Amino acid sequence: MRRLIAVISAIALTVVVAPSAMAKTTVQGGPLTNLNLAGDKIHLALSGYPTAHGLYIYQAVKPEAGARPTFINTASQVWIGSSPGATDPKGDIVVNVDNGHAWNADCEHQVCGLFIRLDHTAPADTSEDQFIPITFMAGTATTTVTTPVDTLSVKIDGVDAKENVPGTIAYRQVVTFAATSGSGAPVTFKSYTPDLCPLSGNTVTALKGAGQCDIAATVGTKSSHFPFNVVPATQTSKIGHIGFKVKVGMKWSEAKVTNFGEKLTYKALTSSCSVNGVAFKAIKVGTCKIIASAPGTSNYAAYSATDSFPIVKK
Amino acid sequence: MLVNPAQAVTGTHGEILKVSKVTNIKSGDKLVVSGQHFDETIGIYVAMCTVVKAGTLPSPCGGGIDETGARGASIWISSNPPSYGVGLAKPFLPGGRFTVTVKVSPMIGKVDCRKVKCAIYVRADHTRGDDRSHDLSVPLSFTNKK
Repeated sequence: MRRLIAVISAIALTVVVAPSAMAKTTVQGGPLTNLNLAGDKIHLALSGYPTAHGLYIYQAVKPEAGARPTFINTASQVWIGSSPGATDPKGDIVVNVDNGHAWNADCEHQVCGLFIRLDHTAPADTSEDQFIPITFMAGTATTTVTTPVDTLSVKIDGVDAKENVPGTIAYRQVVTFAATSGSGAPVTFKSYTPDLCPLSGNTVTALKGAGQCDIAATVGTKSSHFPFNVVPATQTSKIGHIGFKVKVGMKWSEAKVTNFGEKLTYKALTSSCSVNGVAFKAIKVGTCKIIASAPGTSNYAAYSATDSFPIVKK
Repeated sequence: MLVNPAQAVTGTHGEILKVSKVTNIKSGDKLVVSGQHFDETIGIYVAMCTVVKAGTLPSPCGGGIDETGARGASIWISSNPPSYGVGLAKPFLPGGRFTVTVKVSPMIGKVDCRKVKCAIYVRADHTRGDDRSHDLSVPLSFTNKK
């Protein structure tokens, strides 16, 4: 009887992913649910696969619609095709999956799955891209303790936040988390991407202008993940905030560097004022128009700003 | 009058390392070492070391690797140190910048930098100890005068 149940369970867990209208590869196999967090194997059989290019299949955190995953279990990747070293698409394809901790993911709580795409011979061709969700059996990596699941309420910079909905964080932007639990138990935070987005107490900052970050809030067995897309920052300076009436003959200095330490270069666009480095002088009555510029990097764009103000009689 | 020039080098990732004085250095001189456009996700050490072949771990360095920061021989800069490094490592400033002062002696243990080539080195910290892609150096020359 037990054997019969096991067979029925295995059949129930075997899933056929139908090809879409774009005739993607049909992926059959399993199990895709109740996987062991400590590590498990998924057996797949492919049909309708491309012959002009190979495929990659790997475990990943579910990407945004139309995008490719950024959190990838590279150790799980299987290369499929007819090239030497590739796995035969006609055979049993085995993908080793895990809880994701080794690759900055948490597949017990995040949506993980298998991602299928064309291989390196067609890197920009997304016609074979597809994501097949997988789920794990809760607590299989550790001793199961039966405790009631708590609830979490999280705010990011004072605004109610929804888990698993990507937010945006700019290079060097500081984002503050606040969380309360239904039970009143303390909530802890963890960065699953500590190199890019280290956590200090309940604040997070991004140390580059690109990538993805993942911050988790946890109380008891309840964890909620808050992903962020990291984007370049805007460079700023204090150009033009003189705050006084400029009279002919007056001298003043502008800022030397931007908020990111880039050297500011100034030019006077009108003859009412002159500039030497950061030192300005009011020459004659009229409008002083200045332009400031500074180079950018991949973390922030180049800076350019103008300011104009009147030069009045002594 | 001799002027000790500052020297700047640019690394393969676009990072700029600058040392305030690179020639006629005397024992006890305090060199201002500054950086810009460093990758802030990678912690670094700043130290004076003997010059080694590219791709080789810079060693010996003045006082060796100083994870505690107590000896002042090498300086740890990191914006994402492991938990034990919080408070010890100095974080980068926005823009991948840092400015530190390194007090130098011509002797690194028994190695005499008046006889062998030495340099101010930057290298990835011990969390990426084998990663040589962030090594960057500015050569120094010490005066023989006491």
